[in-house]
Amino acid sequence: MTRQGGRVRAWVGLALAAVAVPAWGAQYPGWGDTGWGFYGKRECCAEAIALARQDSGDRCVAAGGTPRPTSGIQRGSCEWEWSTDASGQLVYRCASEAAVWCR
Amino acid sequence: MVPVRRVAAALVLALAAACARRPAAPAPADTSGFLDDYARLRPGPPDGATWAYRNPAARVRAYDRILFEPVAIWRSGKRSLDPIPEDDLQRLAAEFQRAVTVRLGADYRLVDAAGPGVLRVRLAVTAARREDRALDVFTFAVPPEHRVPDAEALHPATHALVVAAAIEGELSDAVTGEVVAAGVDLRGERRALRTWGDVRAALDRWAAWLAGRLREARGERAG
Repeated sequence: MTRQGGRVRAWVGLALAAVAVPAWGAQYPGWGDTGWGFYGKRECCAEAIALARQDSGDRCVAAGGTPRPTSGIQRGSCEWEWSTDASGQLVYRCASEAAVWCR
Repeated sequence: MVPVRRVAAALVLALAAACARRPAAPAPADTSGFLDDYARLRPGPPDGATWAYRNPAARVRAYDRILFEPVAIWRSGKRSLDPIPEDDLQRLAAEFQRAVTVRLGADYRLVDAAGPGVLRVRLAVTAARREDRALDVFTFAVPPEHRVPDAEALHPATHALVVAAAIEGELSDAVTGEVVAAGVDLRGERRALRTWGDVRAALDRWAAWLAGRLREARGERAG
């Protein structure tokens, strides 16, 4: 192997590494599940999304990154189911998938 | 010549039939689940929201401050908001927040904490059905320095959202949580909304209507 060929491979390797770990472009999807106990879908979904975003941020940190500040945005999916509690009142459980930007 | 009595009777029957077709509470397909209780909503007055509830025991005059929570956007289906550029979602929330803040800010002090005399305002743009088990949710706590650009055409995916959307809202006592008023509003020719200028004007009209209703409820003349 020539010295020039080794340099080219090194540059290609660095370029690939830069693509694989962009400055702040990566996202690690997170999941959240509230369990039963919410009496409104609005609060239930908000909590599930908050949990999922927290999980996404934790995955980012575990991968060596830093979660990017959200600038006030909360975004995610919310899948819900309902039942009735002992007093006959509707009670919700929500699950969410969400992702925060990671740099 | 047709006797006047017969015409009057026909009109009464037609009105009765029209009233009978309108159900007492909104159908699940017309609502998202953003509000906690749709059963108490009733058809609104001609100049009011499509479905409305006003707590007869609530004293609207007791409130002089407003805690306005970030506007939410709800759409049925997992990842259903993905086709809409995130800048547009931010902008829709920001336009709504700005319109309501300006109109209600003329009559109330806007605060960021609950307390006595504080009315909590929750509003959402919804294109979701209560029975759908998956939603996409977007909320944006608009920073005060956030600027919204001038008029331009709506992205097709954004247009599809606003055409299908309702406004749902709830006013409640910020301390006790007691609901003062709630409603679902499907009014307006939303297909005609083509530009961000149209959206801004429509949201401003809606915010002005809300401010006027609150003035009326406080015993003042609506402006």
